Amino acid sequence: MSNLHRSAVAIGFFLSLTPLGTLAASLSAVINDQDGNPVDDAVIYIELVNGERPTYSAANFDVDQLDKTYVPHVRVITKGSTVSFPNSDDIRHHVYSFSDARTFELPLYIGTPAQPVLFDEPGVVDLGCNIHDFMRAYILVLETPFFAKTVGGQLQLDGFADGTIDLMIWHPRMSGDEILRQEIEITGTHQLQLEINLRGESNTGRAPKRRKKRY
Amino acid sequence: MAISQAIRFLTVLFIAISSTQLSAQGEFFLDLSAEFLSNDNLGRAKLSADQKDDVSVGVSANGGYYIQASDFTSVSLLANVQASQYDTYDGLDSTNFGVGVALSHKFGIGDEVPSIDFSITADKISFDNSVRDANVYGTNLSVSRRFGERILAGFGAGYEQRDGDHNEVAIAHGPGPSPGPGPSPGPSPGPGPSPGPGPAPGPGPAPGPSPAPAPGDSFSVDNASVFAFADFDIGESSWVSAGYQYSTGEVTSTSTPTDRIVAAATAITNDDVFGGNRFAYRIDAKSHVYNIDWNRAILESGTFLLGVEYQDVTAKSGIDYSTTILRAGFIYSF
Repeated sequence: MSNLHRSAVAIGFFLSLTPLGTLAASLSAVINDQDGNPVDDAVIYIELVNGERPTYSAANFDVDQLDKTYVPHVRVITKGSTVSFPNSDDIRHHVYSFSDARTFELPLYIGTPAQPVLFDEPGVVDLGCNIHDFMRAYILVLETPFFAKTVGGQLQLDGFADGTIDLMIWHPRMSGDEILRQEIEITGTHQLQLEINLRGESNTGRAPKRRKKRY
Repeated sequence: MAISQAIRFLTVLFIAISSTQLSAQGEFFLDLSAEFLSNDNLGRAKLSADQKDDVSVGVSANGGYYIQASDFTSVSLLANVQASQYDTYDGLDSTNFGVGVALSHKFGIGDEVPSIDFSITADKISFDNSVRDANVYGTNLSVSRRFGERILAGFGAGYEQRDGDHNEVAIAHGPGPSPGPGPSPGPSPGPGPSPGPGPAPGPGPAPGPSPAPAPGDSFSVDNASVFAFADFDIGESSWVSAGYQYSTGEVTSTSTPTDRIVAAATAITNDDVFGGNRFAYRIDAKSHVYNIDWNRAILESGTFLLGVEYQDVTAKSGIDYSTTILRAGFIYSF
């Protein structure tokens, strides 16, 4: 993630440490935006545990296209993983990305392309559709197996060791495309409550437009 | 009646299209809309006594079939039906049936890549008062692109030819307003008989020598235009659309006769939609049209809009007028 700007922007952490130290730590988090609304698709991941990068393995994932929408909107994968882009619509899509972490293009197709796309660099990959400009999605490529994504503003992250962790928080609409970073000491089970600043997102792309009559 | 005709029209068109091989590559689309309009100068008249305002409601369906022909080029087959009803001047109540073809080409990959759009349309418009009935043929060429997430802007040019069905020369037409009451003169000389009824007798223009015979196809007008437009997103669900259009060609103005407009007119015919002794004059004109709409996306596939449009028209011989149109509407996309 060295190509990404990292910042320890002040955020509200409310950490409640349990007195019981365990080898398998877990973290539950509630993430709200600046207006107090629960945030979907925020990602928390642990980049370092006790100063060391955890081992991870690659896997196969998919990002579907359904009703002119990428599903899921945010896909988190590990470096070296592949992603298939099945098209479940009965119309054709044209998937592309110009992101530094992965530049690729899947010209007009319907069904599932024969070859999935390999993501071998960490970072954020912005996805678009050249036919439907309002279709947006993101692939976050990580070098850690410890990540989780919020649903209804909540997430649960398990299975990492007790100790000092570099905790990273990312959301596609986070102001300035920043990744928030916080080094914290965790033992056992913990709860975290965060507030993140999100920029507005335009949702007008699918809305019908008035057809103007010329004179 | 008009609505049922429209539904049949669209159904036949869609069935015809879906029976072709194109259906494997494209998709149908359909927008339904309802609109409330206020117009302060329906007849496009210069004199305040001739300026008539009214409100109307309209419903329309715009549908078609979209085909992504290649990576960067699409074709849309278009069809539309529309019905409008006025509160006072029911002669302006109308139905519109139209078809068209639109081509779009994007110059590359990405959401900020420019695209060029070309369209040809043909519409049949029928009014309760048939003097305005017409076939309207239009073509537009425009270039647009996005600038970041929130701005879409473009410009273009268009041409529209309106072929009026009506071609009856004016009867009871005098060249200037009368200082007093007087009987209407007889049919003006001109090519062919004038079977239509003339305006009501009584106060009106003085009898006098009719001007040189003018054709009666006042509602047959041609216009060429250039335009620019932009959409600005102003929130998560709202945007403002602004546009400007400059047109040169012909307009139809309905008014009582004056020396000036009679001299400027290239066609004159009776127009009793607004009552009184009024005629429809076709005159050469240049117009500036400004519009701004506030739009809000609602119900996932719907848009509510409020808009205002201002038309500033300068015609031959110093005849000018303006029109302000207020608009409130809702569009739902299926």
